[in-house]
Amino acid sequence: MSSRMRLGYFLSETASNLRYNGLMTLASIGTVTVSMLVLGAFLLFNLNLKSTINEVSSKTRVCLYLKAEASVAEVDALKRMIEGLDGVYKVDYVSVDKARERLKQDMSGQADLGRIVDTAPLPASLEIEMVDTSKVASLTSVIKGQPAIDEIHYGEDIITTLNMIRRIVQIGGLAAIIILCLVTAFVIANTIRLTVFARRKEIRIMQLVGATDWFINWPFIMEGIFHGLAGSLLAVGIAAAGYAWLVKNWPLTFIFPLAYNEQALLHISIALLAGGVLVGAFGSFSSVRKFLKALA
Amino acid sequence: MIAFQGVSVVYPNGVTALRNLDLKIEKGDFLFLVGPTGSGKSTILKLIYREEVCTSGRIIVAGKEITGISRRQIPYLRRGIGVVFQDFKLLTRRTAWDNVAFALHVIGVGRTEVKRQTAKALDSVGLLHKADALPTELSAGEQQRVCIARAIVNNPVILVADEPTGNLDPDTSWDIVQLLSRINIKGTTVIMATHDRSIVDRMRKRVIALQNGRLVRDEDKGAYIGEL
Repeated sequence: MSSRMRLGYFLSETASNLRYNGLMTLASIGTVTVSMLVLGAFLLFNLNLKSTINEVSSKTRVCLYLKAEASVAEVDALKRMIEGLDGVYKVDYVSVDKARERLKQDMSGQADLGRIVDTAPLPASLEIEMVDTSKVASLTSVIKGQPAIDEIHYGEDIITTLNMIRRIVQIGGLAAIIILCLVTAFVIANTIRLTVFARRKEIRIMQLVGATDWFINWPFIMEGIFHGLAGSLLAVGIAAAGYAWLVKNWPLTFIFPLAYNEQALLHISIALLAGGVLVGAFGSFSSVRKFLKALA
Repeated sequence: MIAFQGVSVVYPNGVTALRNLDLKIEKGDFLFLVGPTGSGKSTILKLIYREEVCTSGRIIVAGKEITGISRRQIPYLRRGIGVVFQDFKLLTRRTAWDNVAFALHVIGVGRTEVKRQTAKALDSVGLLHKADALPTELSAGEQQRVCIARAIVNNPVILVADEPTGNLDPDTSWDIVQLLSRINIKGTTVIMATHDRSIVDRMRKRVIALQNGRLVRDEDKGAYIGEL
């Protein structure tokens, strides 16, 4: 039998299998949809968390307050040294006057504070913009102890907290996804088992006339793949529509806008489809194999 | 063609189905297996097409030892053996034609060849004119003929029949045995387990009698009950 004819045979057998168990097929597809939706929600949450961390990181500046007695030459040498370090984008010198000017701007409208600002002992500083915020720790360890530096400040806490949240979400999410995928595979396996049971006489005859296990397996595996694909397609559709609605209606005042990175969203969709297909194939394969082993 | 050498089958519950059986079946033989229920007739047939595995001894089928063959090799062994059942085991939702063609489809035979061989098999059992009938529209004898057509459609070298006349009236039973005899004349080795005394006595073929898993008689041109 040519491979085209064989595929035709497998497809017609698969279609007939699907007809056998209409309700169970729907239940199985529904389970895949729910599981893949949870997986999708997790991936989208992770995408946004990552984009938030990047956003926060990109706004993170390392601020070096300089000692009042530091000479211009010392500050200049320090600036040049920092500019040569890994992960540094730009270094700006903020003089005492400029710092006072900024403070004034920040406090504008509070007239009675103007005099305090004028007399406040503000230090000059170097503001470092990073290309890669993961290098902040190594940067501070290198420059710590430089004679011109009085204090080093950066948004360490918020980045650490966000990274910790991301790690927790990743570990917890991974565990949840594994459990959900196993449950889904189990439901698909049971649905396929019903079809296999309904067709046991046919399978028995196939075995007796010399059909190989693979030949018998294929229509059932394709049925499982169909459950997985249909369920995950539904999940991708629902997730895409839901996320598009959220992006449109998300209040901009809420921390950060939702991430809308087309490539990342495409990757998530592919991950959901692949996940559904794999879970479907695995569920049906395990079910039929067990049955055939018992019969042979 | 087939050889059993010191074959025993003991089930996990301790029941012994066959005890130290030695048996040789030549190519082109027509052989009846007789004996009371539980004597081991069906076990011998199932061992030939590897539905059961012996506990000890060796079994050779078509020149190949099958005792230790892998699960993957079983389908290829079965393609050389046709099996006829007492209860026909036809697919009730498929026509006679589809039931026979099915046996070829599932071993990967091409469409043209499926058509040619299915027509030939149905013709040889005299049922080509009922190719489109569902099993429920056929008499028991006709259903058994479809079962035989399915068993011979890929020209097996061995045909095993487990009480093929068990559900049929005497006349139809005789027709079925005549059909098996014609298949045998064309060169296929036929092994038939039966309780049907009149058929065995009328055919006068080789008879193997079993009792409690032991071979108690092996006669050429034998009878259901041996000569005293």
